[in-house]
Amino acid sequence: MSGGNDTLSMRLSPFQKIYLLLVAGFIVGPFLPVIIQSLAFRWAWPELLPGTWWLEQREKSMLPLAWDYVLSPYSRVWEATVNTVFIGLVVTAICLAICLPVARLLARESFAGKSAFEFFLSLPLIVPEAAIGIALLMIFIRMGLAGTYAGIIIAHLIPTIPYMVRMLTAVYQGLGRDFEEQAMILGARPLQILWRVTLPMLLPGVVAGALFTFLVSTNIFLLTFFLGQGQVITLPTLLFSKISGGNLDTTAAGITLIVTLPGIILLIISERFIKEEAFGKGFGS
Amino acid sequence: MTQVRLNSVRKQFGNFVAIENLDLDISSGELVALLGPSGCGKTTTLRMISGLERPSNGAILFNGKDVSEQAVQDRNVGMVFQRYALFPHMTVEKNVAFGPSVRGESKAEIARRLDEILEVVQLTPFRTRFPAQLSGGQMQRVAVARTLITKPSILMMDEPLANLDTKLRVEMRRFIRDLQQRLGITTIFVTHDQIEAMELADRVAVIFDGHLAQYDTPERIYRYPRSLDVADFMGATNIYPGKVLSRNRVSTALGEIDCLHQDDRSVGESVQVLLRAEALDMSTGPFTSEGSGMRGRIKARDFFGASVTYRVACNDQEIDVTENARRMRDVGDDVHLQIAPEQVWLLSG
Ligand SMILES: Nc1ncnc2c1ncn2[C@@H]1O[C@H](COP(=O)(O)OP(=O)(O)OP(=O)(O)O)[C@@H](O)[C@H]1O
Ligand SMILES: [Mg+2]
Repeated sequence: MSGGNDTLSMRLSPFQKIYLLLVAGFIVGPFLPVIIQSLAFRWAWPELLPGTWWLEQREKSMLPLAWDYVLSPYSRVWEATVNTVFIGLVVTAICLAICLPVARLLARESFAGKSAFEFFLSLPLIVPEAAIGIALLMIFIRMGLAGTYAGIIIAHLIPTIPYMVRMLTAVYQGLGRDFEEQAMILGARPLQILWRVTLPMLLPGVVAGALFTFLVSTNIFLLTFFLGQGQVITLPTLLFSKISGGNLDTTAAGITLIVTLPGIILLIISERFIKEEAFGKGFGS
Repeated sequence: MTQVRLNSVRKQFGNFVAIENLDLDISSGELVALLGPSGCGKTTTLRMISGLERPSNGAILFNGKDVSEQAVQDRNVGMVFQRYALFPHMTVEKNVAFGPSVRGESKAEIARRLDEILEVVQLTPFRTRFPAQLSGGQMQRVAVARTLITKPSILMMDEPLANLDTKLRVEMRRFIRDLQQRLGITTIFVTHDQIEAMELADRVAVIFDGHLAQYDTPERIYRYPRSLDVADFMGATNIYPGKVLSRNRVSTALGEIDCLHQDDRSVGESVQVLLRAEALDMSTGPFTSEGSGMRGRIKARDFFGASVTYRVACNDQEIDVTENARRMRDVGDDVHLQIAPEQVWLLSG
């Protein structure tokens, strides 16, 4: 391990190192204050680091401090995390089920109104989320869907479907019909073809699309806020209720870190998965 | 054993007619080549037989039974695609076992057939490789094995040899021929190479622009093409306009030539006269008066290793003569040419 690092750093020039550090700084930088804040007891301007740390004050404090609070049931962090992950997974699954056939159509068939369809596909990305949220809320209240999981899931599908369709269409275009037709001739039924040929061959694209959809869904605040009606809370809405006062206190910083966890875990899993399952085996010939 | 029949099959894509009124009869166990230039509809024909494409009109019959309503999966045909279409995410084994596996064969049965077929196509040492790790010839054999393991009643191959180098091509040609004879399976293969078609096939169907131009044995197609296009496609170079003088004699710009009587030719008719380059006898020395003799001088020489083709100027015309390369003649030599009457073929024209 250290040997590898040595040879690597020996090969890099000082300039190359500076660029790498710069990029790393931009990516990791914003997290640092949040991490420090979450561990601070008091951190006031102009101190570079907190004057008093959370652990030092832990025994003396009357009130639960940052991590103690975040991890306690009062914070509802656990409930929000479960909700967020659950909604994200369901949205991803439904989104895939809807977008796979559509992407296949768009990639392979030509039909009247196809270009119009492709144009309108971008509409949800152009119309402000707030407008969509309010419009949906009025409809959903009447239908009794406001404040329900179903309502939020439907709302989350609106911004995610356009992305997913686009991504999968591109992947489908790269996959010729030959493979599926060959499978058909060899005797495979439609579901067998989907399961054994199409999905594995689309895997890198499907994983990327699913990952993206999941991350978008777990980060949607406005739609969830409008349609959750305070009855269904997710990590973003919980965070908002903590920071709506206008300052990022230690508990908010803690929740912020929790909010990023599902995404990071997923990123690590999928990174491994894509590498081993698909690209490691000489994909794409 | 399956016998295949196409009854005035027609295929239209939008306004474009890809296949027009195709009638084709393939006996069981026969090896038939579909031969034609790019875009003439060869692949489309295979796709209709396999069920991937529905004919716009007409019917396709297997053993006299119309299969129009039968799904691809139920036709029990095999097709090796132009670009093989090996599943890139599966090993050779998984690729080959795909057919029996989706058909729900038992594990033991699949393993048995897999071992057997891999042995036949000599791929046993490569069974755990992925397609990306195989050579062109090996990929081709995987594609063939993957199809044969399903025991299809009709085997179709779309340009099976197109992507292989010359040596491998000869090898694979022999391999396919042997396999086909051993299994006695009705086989249709597509090619745009007339040599390949002649070497492999029992009968050749020549297709131009979606029309069946001729369907016959390789020898008959080569010697007795029914149209100028077919003659041209089969590599004929010496074709001259002429007039039928009598039952057995025709006049051309080269001179008068003896021929055999052809039933569909009448005296006085304008025809095209086909003289195959290798059917001409070339000699130096005294001119004997019998047969159809023509005087000429060698203008150019193309050496092909086993054979040589001379371009001979003869009565203001040029004529190609192919000879065995054992004996070489020189450019500028005076020669005379003769052709046996049965080697002369008259085309309407
Ligand atoms: N799905 C389709 N839609 C429209 N036109 C098509 C379609 N499939 C084939 N064609 C047209 O039909 C004609 C015959 O195509 P086909 O693929 O059968 O040719 P081919 O004889 O196999 O040619 P090649 O030797 O180049 O493979 C071509 O002109 C092609 O453009
Ligand atoms: Mg083709």
